[in-house]
Amino acid sequence: MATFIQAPHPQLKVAIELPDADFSSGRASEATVQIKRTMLGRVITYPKSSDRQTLRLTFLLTRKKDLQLIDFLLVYQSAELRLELHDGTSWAAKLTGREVPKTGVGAHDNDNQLTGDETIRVILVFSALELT
Amino acid sequence: MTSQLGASQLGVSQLGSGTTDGGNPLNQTVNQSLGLVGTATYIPIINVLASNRLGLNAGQTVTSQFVVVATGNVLGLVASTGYHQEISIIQYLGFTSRVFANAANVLGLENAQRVNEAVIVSAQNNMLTGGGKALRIEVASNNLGLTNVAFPNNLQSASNQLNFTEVVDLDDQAYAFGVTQSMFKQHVSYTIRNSRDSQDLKYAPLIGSSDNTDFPELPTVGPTLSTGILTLTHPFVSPTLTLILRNPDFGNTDVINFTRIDRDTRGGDRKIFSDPKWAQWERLTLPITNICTVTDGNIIAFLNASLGEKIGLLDWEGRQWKGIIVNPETDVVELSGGFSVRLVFEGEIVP
Repeated sequence: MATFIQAPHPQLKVAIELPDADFSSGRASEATVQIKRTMLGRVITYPKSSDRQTLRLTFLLTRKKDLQLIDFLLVYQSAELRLELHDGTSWAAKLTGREVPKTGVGAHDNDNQLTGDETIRVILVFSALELT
Repeated sequence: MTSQLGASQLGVSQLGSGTTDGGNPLNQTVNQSLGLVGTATYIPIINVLASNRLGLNAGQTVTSQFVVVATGNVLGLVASTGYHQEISIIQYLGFTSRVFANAANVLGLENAQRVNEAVIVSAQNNMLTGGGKALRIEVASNNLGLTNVAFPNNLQSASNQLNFTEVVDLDDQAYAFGVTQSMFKQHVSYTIRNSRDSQDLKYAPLIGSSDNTDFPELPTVGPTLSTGILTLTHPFVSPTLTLILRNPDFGNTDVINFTRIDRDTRGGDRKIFSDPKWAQWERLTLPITNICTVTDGNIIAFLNASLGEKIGLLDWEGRQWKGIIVNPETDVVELSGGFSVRLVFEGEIVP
C-alpha cells in the first residue's frame, strides 16, 4: 500500500506517491466546545460541530522523494488535495499552517523499505473531509 | 563420429476388448534410447506414439490411461550450446455407437527437469509443473500448450477437466512473478522485494492533463545532487568573504514556509488562498559540530559582516542558496572535538 496525494481536487492532474505514514500519525475532530458556568453552577456548553478532521501524518522519505514533495508543495500548497491513505480512506484535504517541518534523520542500512540513503522525516498536517 | 541430425521413432499400438483379467490394466511399456558419442552438432529427436482402443460391453467401466515418462539424461557434458527436451501429448476421447453413464477426459501432466553437474546456457521445458529445479540455468522458459477435447455422443454425463499449475521460483531477484491464465479470467501477482525502483522511494511525479490552468507545471525530473562542503559567502554577488565549515549533523531541519490566507467560514468550510507570486521560502536549521578548519573568531566575524544581508550558501548536496542568517546571536561553543555552532538560514534555492 502507499499514500497518494493528488491535486488539484476535483480536477485531478498530478499525484505524488508516498510510503505509508509512520506510527504516531493520527487524526482529530475539528469540533470544539466552549463551556460556561453560571454563578450558581449551571453549565452551558457552546459546541461547534464540524465534519472536518485534522490529519497529522508523519512520513519517512528518501531524499529524492523529499525533493519531489517540496516541488509538489511549492506549487499546490494552497490547492484542495485528494488524499488516498493506507487504510483505503479518501479525503478532500487542505494543507494547514504556514510550515512543513522536515528533519534529516540519517541513513538507514538494511532497511526493508528504504535504500540506505539519507532519510527525511516529514510532518504534514491537513484539514480534511472524508470522501464517501 | 559426427552427425548433423539424429532421430529415432517408435510407434506402439495396443488393442484390447471384451473381458479383462480381473481389473488388472493391460500394460504396454516402451523404452527407447538414443546414444550418441563423439563430437557432434545434433538435435536428437525421440518420438513415441501410443494409442489405446478399447471395446466395451454394456455395464463395463474402464479407465484408459497413458503414462508417458520422458527422461533425458545428459551425461559427460562439458560444454553445451543448449539442451532441448519437449513433450507434447494430445489426448482424444471419442465415443462411437455407445451410451455411457459417465465419461471423463482427464489430462494430467508432470514434467520434471533435473540437471546434474551440467551448466546449461539455455533450457526450455514444455509443460513444466513442479518437479526438480535446475542447478544453473541462465535462461529458462516454460511453454505449456494443451488441447483437451471430448467428443461426446449420446452421453448422459461427461466431464472434461483440465488442471494445471504454474510455479515460477526466482531467488535473488527483485521480482517474483506468478501468472495464471484460464478461459475466464487472468490475474498477475507480483512481489517487489528491496527494489530501489519502487515508486514511493524515487523522484517520480505522476502528471496527467487538465483544463485547469491555475497552477504552474510541475518539474518532471528532480534536481541533480552532488556532494560538497557547507560554504558561506558574503555578499551574494561578487563575494569577498568565504567561510568553509563542516557539513551539518543529522537532525538538521528544513521548514517550508508559505504566504497565504487561511480562513474558516461559519459553515465550517476552510478557505485557503495563495497567489503563486507570493513569497515562499525555506528555513534551514544546521547544527554543525567539530569544526576545526576555522576558529570561533572567524565564524563570529562572518556573522557580523553579513548581518542582515543576503549571503550565499553552498550546501552539502552542491545546491546554491541565497538568503539570510536569522540568528547571528547564536553561540559558538568550543568542545573537545572543535567548535560547534547552530545556524538558522532562511532563503531559497538559486535556479
